[in-house]
Amino acid sequence: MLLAFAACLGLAGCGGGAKTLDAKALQKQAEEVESLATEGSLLAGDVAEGDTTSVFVRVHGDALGENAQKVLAKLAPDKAKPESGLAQKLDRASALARSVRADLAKLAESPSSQAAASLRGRLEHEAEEAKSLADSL
Amino acid sequence: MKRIFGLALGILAAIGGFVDIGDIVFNTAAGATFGYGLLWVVVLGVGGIITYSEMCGRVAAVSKRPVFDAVRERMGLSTGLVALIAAQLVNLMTLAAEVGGIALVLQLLSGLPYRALIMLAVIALTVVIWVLPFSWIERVFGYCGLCLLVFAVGALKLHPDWGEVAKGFVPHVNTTSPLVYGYFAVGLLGAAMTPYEVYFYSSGAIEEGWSPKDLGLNKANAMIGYGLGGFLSFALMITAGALFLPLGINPELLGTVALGAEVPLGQIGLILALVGTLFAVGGAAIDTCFSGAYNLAQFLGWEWGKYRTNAGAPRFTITWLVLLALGFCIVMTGIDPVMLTEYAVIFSAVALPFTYIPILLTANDRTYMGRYVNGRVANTLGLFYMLVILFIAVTAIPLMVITHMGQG
Repeated sequence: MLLAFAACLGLAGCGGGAKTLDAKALQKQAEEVESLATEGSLLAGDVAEGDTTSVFVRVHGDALGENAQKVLAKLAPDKAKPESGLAQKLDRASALARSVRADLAKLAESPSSQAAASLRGRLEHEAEEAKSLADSL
Repeated sequence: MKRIFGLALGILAAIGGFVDIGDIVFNTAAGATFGYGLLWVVVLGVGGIITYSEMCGRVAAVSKRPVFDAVRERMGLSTGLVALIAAQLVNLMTLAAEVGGIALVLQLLSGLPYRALIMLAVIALTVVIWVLPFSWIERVFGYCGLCLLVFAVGALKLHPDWGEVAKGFVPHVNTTSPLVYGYFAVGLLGAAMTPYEVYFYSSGAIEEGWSPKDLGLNKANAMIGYGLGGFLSFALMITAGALFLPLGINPELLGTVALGAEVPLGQIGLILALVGTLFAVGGAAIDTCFSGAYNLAQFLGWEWGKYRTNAGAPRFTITWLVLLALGFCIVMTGIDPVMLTEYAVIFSAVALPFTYIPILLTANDRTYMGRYVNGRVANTLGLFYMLVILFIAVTAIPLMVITHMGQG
């Protein structure tokens, strides 16, 4: 069992260098960006309406931002080599992930209600863009 | 009042066993991926754990023998040793994950650094286990864990499609992604029937000095306690199905689960969800810590039990202290507690037969059980669930590998 566990961890952690990124893998990353942006927009909505705590927003916003950073790292040129015809979509996914990460970072800084409402709108828009990107793949 | 407190063992076992960090995330992820389509699997799992907990509680009350006594006797020393090692490894993985889970929840409540909170969590657990009597541990963690009922209120406020919810209780297989569906089904069953629950439950029955006159309490504990655990699982899955699935949110963080209570209920929902999770995960940490110490002590024939005081059972006490220290070291490496629990659930599914076969055999042995031996209903259910257990033991790891832990 210990060996099986170690093997599983090994499998999960292996894979250095650039990997070929196919449409399915890119779609998965776009869906991840959509998920993070949507969740960020929910959280921003709660900040705007005073329905949450500042500590929760800071800690959870940071955690979501870290996940956006992980997506960004997976899409980086040294990690992902797109299949032909996907380069533009990969760039679009990276730009969206970067933008979502930046908005989540702002959210984690306990914004005012007004700023939170504006972030909510931005994150909703980014989620829609990520969804349309994922649907196009 | 005494009767209500008497149910605390089942409630702690259920809250700590059924609703640990892995279950909280697993049920939420299942709801966010398949909506209400896996509710029937929770029902199946609840039936299984009630069947076998009732059996091992009855064995403990009648023969005064906890589960690991039966494991060693029925499986022999060498196979029993394999079962012990497997059980201890899964226990340790789960304990480490729960300690990490406590720190994550404390961080969401306080904003303090994660690693400092891991240390605080281990110190707090050590003090609680050392100082509090068994009955108070049950009560504090069991009843405070009931704050998780906030998810049931949240689920109602989200106005799910109750027709679809009802369809989720009818056994079926999702045909669009059957392997991922299978992975979640196996994981939910493995989590529901995870072995440390029955180790803790049967040893707890001996700690509380159950006798045949407590068999009614045993049934009530198993049915109400695990029934409640199942109800909380439904609430988590329905919340996720109603809120996260339509929005395309993939819940990977404990904070996302809490958001499921915050969105419909606001700040109070968030705080109750976090407090409930803290006590549920804390209860699970104590369950696994005790289970590890019970298993080793029972296998090696040491004095064991919280009722003997810490000095009265020194090797038992040292064992749980060492397990806590090991759990602390594992989680301090930075491993993700949620991922660790998912591995623990899948590996515990593989180890299930080692635990449940000896229980079934002992509960059928008239030499030990006398007139309290399994009846026709207990045996029919026991055999049915044995087939289920064997199936998930064989399929758990292949499904984990093929589906990349449910990611497709």
